Amino acid sequence: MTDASDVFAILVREHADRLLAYLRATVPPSSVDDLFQETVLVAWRRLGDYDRSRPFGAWLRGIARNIAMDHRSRLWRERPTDDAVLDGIDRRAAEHDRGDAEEFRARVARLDECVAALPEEYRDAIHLCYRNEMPVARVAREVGASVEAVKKRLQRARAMIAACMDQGGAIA
Amino acid sequence: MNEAEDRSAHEETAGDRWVGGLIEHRRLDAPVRVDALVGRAMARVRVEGHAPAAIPFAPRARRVDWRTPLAAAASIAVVAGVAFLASPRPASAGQLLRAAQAAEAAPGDRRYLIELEFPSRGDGRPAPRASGTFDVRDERHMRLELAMSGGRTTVRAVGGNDSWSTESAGGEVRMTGDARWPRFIETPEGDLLIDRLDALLGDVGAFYSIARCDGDGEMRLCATRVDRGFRGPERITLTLDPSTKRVRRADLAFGDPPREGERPHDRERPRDGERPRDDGPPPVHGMRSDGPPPPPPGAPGPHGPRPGRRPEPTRIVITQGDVPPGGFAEGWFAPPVRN
Repeated sequence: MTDASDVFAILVREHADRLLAYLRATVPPSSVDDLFQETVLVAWRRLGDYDRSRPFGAWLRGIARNIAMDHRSRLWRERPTDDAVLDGIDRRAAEHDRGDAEEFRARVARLDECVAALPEEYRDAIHLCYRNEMPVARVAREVGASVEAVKKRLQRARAMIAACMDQGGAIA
Repeated sequence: MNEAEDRSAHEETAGDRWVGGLIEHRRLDAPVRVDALVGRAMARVRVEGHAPAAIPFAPRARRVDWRTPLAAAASIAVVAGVAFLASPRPASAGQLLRAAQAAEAAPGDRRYLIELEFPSRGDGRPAPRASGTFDVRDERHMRLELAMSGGRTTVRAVGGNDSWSTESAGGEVRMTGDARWPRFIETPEGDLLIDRLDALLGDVGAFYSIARCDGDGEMRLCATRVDRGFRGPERITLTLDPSTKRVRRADLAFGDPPREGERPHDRERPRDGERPRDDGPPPVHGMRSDGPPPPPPGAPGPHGPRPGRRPEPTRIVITQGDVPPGGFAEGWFAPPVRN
């Protein structure tokens, strides 16, 4: 027999990737697993408040946002991320609310080809920073550029990746 | 910067952060890991148990036709068949783990005796050790008392909304309003993994492969870490009480320290162009949720220079202890009163 927790588990699994991507965009990597779990627990406790006319993913993300901000302000005694930035991240995440988990995974998988299609210096910066997990200063030393130049490359690379993903996988 | 420029800068940062999040998600959250995280979260949901006041997922209106009674009959047959098959067999490792988790999450006072052993510092002196008690009422009432082999003692507790710690040297730190118990506790000797047993068992379910390894007449579970990204012991051996399924003893063995060049899972990384981590001092807000900031790069660890992570004990043994008659005294978890 299916009980409420089984239905809830199916919904959580369906939205888990999108929630994790959102958390990775908003909190440090060390907090992601804990906050994912806390979001699911709070969502379960508040399931009675969920308005079925709204996308479940958006509701879950709202809980995650509150928990993440609470966590950050408790931990750091400050609010390092501007609300306007969070709103912008929310809007980007919301573009995936209508689709299903498979569509989201397929879209994220396009990242690989978008990164591969980047100009070499941008691709190197992304690889060193994310795959090799180097601090920006070390990336700068590796590639023989200034820290500011590497930051700019990373920024431009991410903008190109975003555009590439919007266009279905081709760098303009 | 005017309002339009401000908005544009925010949008740019948001886009930057979103793509950074997607890259991290693509790289770190493989399907098996996502499944494990969901499984871990749902294990906590099921331990918590209570159903929400109203389930908003009303069943869809559907026609009752001839298939419904047939499906019901088939379900009953499957359940009966599973019960028949399962009953004469010993419980599986997963079933035992879930039973142990539920037993450890049940309300009530409990005391655990803790024994810790840190890695040798390699200077000829014996490896530092510590022993003490960990008292738990629920997730907001916990108290750890440890005596280190060097004579230092430390008490750390969370009591309701207060989280506090005291040191034998006389130092007292109160962290009012932040009652979150960290998975790893910082001490001069290294980072200690001390957490509620039901939480530890949840981690075992999510990040370890488990098998029954009964021996010496004891009911045992052996767990081996399979998620390399999860910071925790390499191997865990649990000895369970066969009747209550409570954990009589948990033996946590940590593996080798991180290799040169290996990045600890929980170290903050640069995520966007606006707030990168540099090789200089850690940022003011660079504290980790589950422990202290990493030591300066190149700081010597017990096995020579090691990047990022502080040392962990080589072994932690947790055994069931006796709670004082009548339970812990009132105020046991509260900060000490100053005279």
